[in-house]
Parts: sequence; C-alpha cells; structure tokens
Amino acid sequence: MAGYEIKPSGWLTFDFRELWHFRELFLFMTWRDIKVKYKQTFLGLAWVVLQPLALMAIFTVIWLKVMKPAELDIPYPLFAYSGLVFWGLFSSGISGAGESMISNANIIKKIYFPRIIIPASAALTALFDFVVTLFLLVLLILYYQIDVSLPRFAGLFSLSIMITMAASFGIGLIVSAATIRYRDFRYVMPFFLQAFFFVSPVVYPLALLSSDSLRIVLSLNPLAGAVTLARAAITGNPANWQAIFPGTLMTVFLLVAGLTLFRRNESSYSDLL
Amino acid sequence: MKPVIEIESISKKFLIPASSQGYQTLRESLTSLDFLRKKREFWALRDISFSMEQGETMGVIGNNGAGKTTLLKILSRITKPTSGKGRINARVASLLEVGTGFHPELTGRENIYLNGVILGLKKREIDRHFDEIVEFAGVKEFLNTPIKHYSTGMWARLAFSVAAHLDPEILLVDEVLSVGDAEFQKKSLVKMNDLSKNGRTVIFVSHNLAAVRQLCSRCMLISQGEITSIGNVNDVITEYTSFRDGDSPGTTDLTLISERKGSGIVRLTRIELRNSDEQVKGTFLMRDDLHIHLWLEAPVKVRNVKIVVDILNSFGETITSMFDSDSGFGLIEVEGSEHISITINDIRFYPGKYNISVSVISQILNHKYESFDEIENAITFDVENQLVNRNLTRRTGLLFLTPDWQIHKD
Repeated sequence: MAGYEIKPSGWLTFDFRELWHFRELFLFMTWRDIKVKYKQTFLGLAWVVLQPLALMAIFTVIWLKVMKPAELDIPYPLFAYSGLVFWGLFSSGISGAGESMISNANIIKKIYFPRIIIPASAALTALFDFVVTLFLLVLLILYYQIDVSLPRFAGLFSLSIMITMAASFGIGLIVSAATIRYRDFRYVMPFFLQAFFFVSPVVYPLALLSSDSLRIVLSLNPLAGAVTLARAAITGNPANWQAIFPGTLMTVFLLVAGLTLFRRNESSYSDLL
Repeated sequence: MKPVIEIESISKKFLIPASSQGYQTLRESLTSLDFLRKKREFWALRDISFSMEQGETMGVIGNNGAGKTTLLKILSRITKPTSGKGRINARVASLLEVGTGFHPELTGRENIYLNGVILGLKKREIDRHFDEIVEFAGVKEFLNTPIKHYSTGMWARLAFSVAAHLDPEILLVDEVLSVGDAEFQKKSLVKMNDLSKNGRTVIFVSHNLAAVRQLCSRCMLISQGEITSIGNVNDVITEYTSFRDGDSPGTTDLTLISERKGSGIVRLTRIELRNSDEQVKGTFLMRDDLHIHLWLEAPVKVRNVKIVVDILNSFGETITSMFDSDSGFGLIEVEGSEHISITINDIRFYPGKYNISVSVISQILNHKYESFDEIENAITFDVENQLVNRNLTRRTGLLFLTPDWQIHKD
C-alpha cells in the first residue's frame, strides 16, 4: 500500500483491503500467542486437554452421586466434555480478546496496524486450543461406540463452532474496548465468566429446568444454542432449532455491537493505553 | 514535483482528567459524574503545516514534551489528529523504537520474524534477508536461544538488524539512536545516511543535535506543540540552543515551563547560576567558579530523592552528567521547599554556549527509577575565553586543561 490520508477520526467502515494487507501480521500474532503460551510448560499442549478432562471427571462424580440424574441421550462424561470444550472456546476467547489490547499496549503505541488484529488473533488462539481438545472428544465418541453420521456431524459441529466463536469474539471486543477505558473490567471478567458458566447448559441439559420462562431466557445465551447444536450433532437426534434460534440471533447482535464499538473507539486506543 | 508528505494545520488535543491518575476507573466515572467535571485540555500539537519532497531528510528537534513524538505518531497513523489533514504519498515505515514486539520467551530466530512482520516486512522478504540479518547482528550461535538470555547489546543489535532491512520510501524515526552503545549508534547513522542518499525521505526526531546536523537537509524546531522555526539546519539548531525567551540571563522560573517529564510529586521551581561572589550571571569565564542553585518543592513528603544535573554543549553533546550521589550528597527526603546549590570550581569548558538539564528522580534500583521531574534545557550560559590568545573551538577540543609540565633530566 503506497500512501494514505491523515485525518481526524470519523465513523469508519471496515477497510477489508487493508485487513488483507495485514494478514501476515495477524497470523504471526496468533502464532506468537500459541508459542508463548506453551513455552516453558512441562506438559505443554497436554494442558489444553487436561483442563476439560479434569472438569469432566469432577462433574461426572457430582452428576452421578449428587444430582440424581435425569435421562440423557448420551453418557454423561461425553455430554459434559462436549459442553466443556465449547465452554473453553467461548470463555478463553472472551478473556483472551479482553486482555489482549492491554497486554499488547507496547506494540499498539509504537506501530500502526488495524487494531482488530489483536483481539482477533486472541480468538484464533482459543480456536487452536479447541481443536486440540477435539481429539479427546473423538476418542470418547469411539469409546462409547456412538454411531455418528459424519457429514451431518461435520455440518452441525462447524455451525456451532461458528456461533461460539462469533459470540465470544463479539463479547471479547466489547470487553477489550471497555477494559481500555476502565481497567475495572479486568476484575469483573473472571467473576462474570464464572457466573456465565453456571447459567449455560454446559454440564446440565437445558431440559433440567422446570420453568418454561427461565428456559426461554437462558436460550438467549449464544452458548446454549451452540452446545445444544453440537450435542445434536453427536447424538444424531434432530436439532431443536427453536432452542437454538434465539441464541444465534443474540450472537449476530453481539458480533455487530462488538465490531462497531471496537471500531468506533479504535483511533483513541493508542492514546488511552 | 509532487510532495511526498503534505501536512495541513494538524492539531492534537488530549483531555487529561483533573485527577491525574494514569487511567480512569469506573468508580471515578460513576461517583464523580466524570462527564460533568472539567477535564484539562492539553494541546500537544497546534496548527502544524509542512511538506516534504522526495529525498529530503528532516530533523525534528525540541525539548521533551514539545510534541515531537506526537507528530511522528500522527504521521505514522498510530494516533489520529484532532483536526487538520495530511497526505502521505509513498510507502512508509515508522520506527518509534527498535525491537517492537520482541518477546523474551521466543528465540532469536522467532523474534526476527515476529519483529519484522510487525515493522511491516513480508515473510518472504524476511526469508530473503534472513542470513544478512543474522550476520549483521552477529548472533548466529544464539539463534535458537530465547532472547531473555541475550545481553542488552545483543538484543539491541538484533533489533537494529531487523529494522535496518526495512526499505521504505519514507522512514519515520524517533530517537532510536539513543539506545545502544557508540558502535551501534554509528551503525545506525550510517544506515540512515544510506537511506537518504538513495533518495529516501526521512523524518528524524532526535535530541542528538550532532546527528541531526550530520544527516539532515532541513530541520524543524517544535516547542509547546508549535513549529517555531523550520529551514536551514544550522540556523534552527542555533535558535534552539539560544536563550529561552523572557528569562533574564542566569535565572529561569521553572514553574513556567510546561515541557517536562515526570510525575510532578517533586517539582523544580527555579534554577539560578551564580559566580563566586554570588552574583547571578549568564556568562562565565573559563576557570571561573560556577554555582548552580536549584529550588524544588514537594507538597507531600517524598523520600529517597536523587538529583542529576547534565551540562550539554550547543552540539547537543553531554559534557558531564553529575549525580548527586557521586559527590556523596543525597536528599533523604523532601517536604515543602528545598534550596540546593551545586558548586563547580574552576570550570574548564571551552568557550561556547552550554545548557543545563535537571532531573529529579527516585533512587535507582535494578536500573529502574521513578521520574519526578525532568527539565531539559532549563537554563543556558556562555563560557568565554580571556585566558589564552588563540582560538578555542570544538575542532580543537572540549576541555581546557592546564596540567603540570615538568622537565626530567634523566
């Protein structure tokens, strides 16, 4: 790109050509995040799998011994693990994107590039971890000898990945824009995510809720739709689109809101950081 | 020919919250009705206009806080102007520091790629220049070592080698020369010289007036956010190093100076130069005594304060950097106002114009310190020669020494 205008900020649209120009930076930032995350750890990538695995074990014990379980379509460990990996993608996408602008402040203040690259590469890093955890999911499916139709599985599963990523990126953008202005959000986020975990049907089925109105409110949660869809992909049961639709609508809203808010404040980031 | 850089009345305003914390907290906004409260406006740049032709090298000089870096950030799009507009008609690389994005956990090889891509090189270009970069930096054996194990020198060399392989049409450089050792500085000067010789356009922000003189075809002096003069390098540098307006020789009211660094919890309020008869003077003779008087103020008690006084010549070369502790002096604490005097007996500086920079900082611990107040070019003074009947210029030296000479009959 040769040359550019210098002018005060206004309502800007996305300059896709510029984003394309900076694609290598985007990939290198992601590569760096992945590389740095597992350097100097003894178990390295194994951590990515160990976390949901440990949680799966804990919730399986709780579910079987304490909850007096309801009937599920698939064995509970598989049910919990499939929920937990999506939770991992969702939550590490949000916290990664949310923190990313602060932790890259030094670069942002010294060099120009479209700022969205920073939270986007944090989200892509979360996707990388997620893909690693999928290997164990496949093993679990094989272990429980669940008959999965591959094309249907691939279709529904990638749709739920897209919903999860879009929602997580949207929220992550809002959080990162907010964190730059008010560092309080750094302390709010862990708490928010913990609360969010319990209102998402990650380790329990949505059907467990007896109240209809509560169920409707919870289905606005993008993660609820994504997880329901992913489980439908595993079980082969028809997807309950009614339960998935509100969350998906919410996802679109969050993504658009996140992009707009982030873009709107973009020009002031280097001054505020 | 069409200018490659055209800037038209660019201004930049910062809003500084009245409570001058680094960043806002939500509580502040919520409890104090922040949006109603007055924020202090600060114009970092005001009405900056200039244009540059291809192949020109422009030096940008001025005190700390004058707006030099803000100008460079606007030119490189890191920050946006509040008003005004401009156009850059060529491929730009900006170098506000070397080694941007270096990650201590990553190896030398990995950092070359990361830093290169951050500076705007393509992976393909880095592949092509990789061996040269490694060669130039002299880190071949340590390529697969995480750079946290590198020495500062190796780190700087690696960073510079990557930057040196940028080949933009316009290069914007900020004070990169201030890091690294003498050899490193020389290398980077040579590299910049090459660039400008090859028809590249360079904007070079620096405190190193000698380097500006050597490299630049034009020079711009910025003070308090405005261009005070632009044009011939020697003229602009002379203007910069002459007296501040409105101060009588030998004394400066430092409370009027807004161009300063530091948190401000200790503040310099006045500096005065006196001779051995305690007369305030702006001109001294070689071998006179020079008394520097400083007044400083701290509204609350501040402990472990350290004072550093630098004397620079008109070429921007630091002649001496005097730490209070070198003389066994130390301020245990400051509360209210203090008056300190520093006596240099028998000044041996060559005739010429000198200026004094003062820094008030915390004690240095592990190379880190907190800056309380730092003022560059706080005051200037002249040294005149009435001792010897020959011309003493920078060409013939910096220090006038009169050692003991003796004949030995062996």
